Amino acid sequence: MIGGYLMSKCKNCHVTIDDHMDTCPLCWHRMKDSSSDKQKLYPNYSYDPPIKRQLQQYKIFLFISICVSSLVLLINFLTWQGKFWSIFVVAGIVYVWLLVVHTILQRRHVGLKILVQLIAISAIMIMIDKLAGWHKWSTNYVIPFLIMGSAISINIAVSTTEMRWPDYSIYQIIIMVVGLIPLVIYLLGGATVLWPNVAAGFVSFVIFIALMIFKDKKFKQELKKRFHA
Amino acid sequence: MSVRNHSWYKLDNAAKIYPAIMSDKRTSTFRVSAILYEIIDPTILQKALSDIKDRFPTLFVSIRKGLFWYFFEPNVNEPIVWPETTSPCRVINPHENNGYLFKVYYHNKRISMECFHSLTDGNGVKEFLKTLVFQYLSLKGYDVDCEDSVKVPYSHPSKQEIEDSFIKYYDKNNVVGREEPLAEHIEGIPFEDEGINVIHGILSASKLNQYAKSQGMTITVYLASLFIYAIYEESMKYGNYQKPIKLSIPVNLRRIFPSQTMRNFSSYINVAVMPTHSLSFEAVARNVMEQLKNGSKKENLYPRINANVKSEKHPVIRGVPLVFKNIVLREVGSRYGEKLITAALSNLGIIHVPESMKKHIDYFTFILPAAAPNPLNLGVCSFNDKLSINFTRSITEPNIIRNFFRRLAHDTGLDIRIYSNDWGLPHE
Repeated sequence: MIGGYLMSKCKNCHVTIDDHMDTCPLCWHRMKDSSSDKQKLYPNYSYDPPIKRQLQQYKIFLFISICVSSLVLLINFLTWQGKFWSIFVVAGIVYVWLLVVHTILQRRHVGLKILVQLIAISAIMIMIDKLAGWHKWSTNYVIPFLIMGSAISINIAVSTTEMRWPDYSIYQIIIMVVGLIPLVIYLLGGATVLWPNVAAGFVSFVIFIALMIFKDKKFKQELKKRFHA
Repeated sequence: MSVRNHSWYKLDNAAKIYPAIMSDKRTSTFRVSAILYEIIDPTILQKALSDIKDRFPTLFVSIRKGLFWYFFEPNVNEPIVWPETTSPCRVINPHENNGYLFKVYYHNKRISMECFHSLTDGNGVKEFLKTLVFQYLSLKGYDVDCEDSVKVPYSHPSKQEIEDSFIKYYDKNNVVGREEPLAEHIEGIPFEDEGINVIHGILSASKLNQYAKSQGMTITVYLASLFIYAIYEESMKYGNYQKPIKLSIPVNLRRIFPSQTMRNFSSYINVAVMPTHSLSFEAVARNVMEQLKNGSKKENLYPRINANVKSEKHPVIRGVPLVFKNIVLREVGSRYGEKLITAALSNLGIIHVPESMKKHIDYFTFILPAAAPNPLNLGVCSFNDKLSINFTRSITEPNIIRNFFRRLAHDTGLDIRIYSNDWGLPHE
């Protein structure tokens, strides 16, 4: 008797088996007087397999997407007339994937979702612009305004949830840096109209001043946390 | 409060590997349990857990991503106590656990703490569990006292408990290469259902110690030799095995350095034995004793710890973004971890609590996770003259464990009490 347990010996292993055990776990010898689940030290497990349905559905859509994309590319190349039109279909499919999986289904911070959407839409805009003769309307107007819109939404999203944990000011910092990209593109000759690009840069500047004044300590700390090497 | 000043923590040297290698199968989650004399009351346990939150600031955190490394941030959410429904040491999903990387379970008379290895090592969890049990017992209305062996729930954690001791004792001029031969692996049929089988063996610590002493061994040397010999007899006696059987034995570095850290601070000794055709138990024991004695010397352990910290501080490695680092670390974990060892034996040692608490606690158990290619591991701890030998396995074959316990019972003549969670037994 140890600790009030009734026990019986396993004849094969010469060890004492707890009385709630049906068999000796070492040799599977059946124990005679096992008292059912009295003082059981482990629960009765359920062996139901975890649900993996969603993954299966993903696979079906992935299969369809790849088939359609390849088919369109194939038709485009076999009937080549100097226009790479199929890229729009492929880009559209990729974009829908991103929209559904990343932006709608996944549990991510809204800041990250906005950033990913910004990158995706910008890429598509540049692509359309390039194929339509590269009039630079994408880099002149669309992208700077997209960035300004994103910057404002991210700052609203982060500021309104400011008191909540965890801290997401990292997205403010990222969009601030992104806001400077149009100016760089302009200086490198990728854009021809100055004012939208300057406006995007100015929004970045305003975010920077706001972070310095209102979040000076947090701002530094966030940089340290996220970029410690 | 001083704790609140710490708004984030870097992962310590040992902690850095686990987020990269962690998966549903290789969970890097281990468990320390206290079995009391009475059924656990979940409401009181929940209260006790919430009460000790400020005492262990490095455990009540959540993990976040930086550009180059993960980091820990204090978690303000309420920690949750869980009823036990699945087999132990499952992967801990922070999204389902209020962001926490540890789980406190209750079942019948047992309180268990399962912990993701990045947070701390066995010693850290042991200290945490002692305080949790203390707080539980005092909320139950028992007259218990912390004395000096349990951290007081409402005291302040010291700077020394929060520190990263790997960095503190880092000596960049004392570094050694880590080349080691690969190990043979235990083969077996994995369980149909993902989970691990646990077999506990409880026996008298003092009598076992007496026996080991009479053979000129310590308990760890004796158990390690039994384990290696069981692996040898059951799976590698016949056949042409070229690589050694290697048993990884963690060492608590707090015994070598005067550290009080609640974070990771352990290393390990890999004991290697070649499975030749005629190997006697005595020869294995002598071999293991010699290697453990040598390996646990400070002059042999210190350069290896330094080597690990040095690689973390390597400028090229530091500059690689986290996504790529994880790929590299996975390879490192496989190359320097699982491929180098056959199995692990971790001895948590004697768990001390004050007399006033002793009469409420039956014994402690300590469980390691198990997954291929290391499908069988052994955790050992002892409390109040009750030593628990806790085998975990992810394969159906219990033959090595059977061999171990039969030899142990035969050689020592001691009464060993056995029970199991019966995971993987035929079921509907």
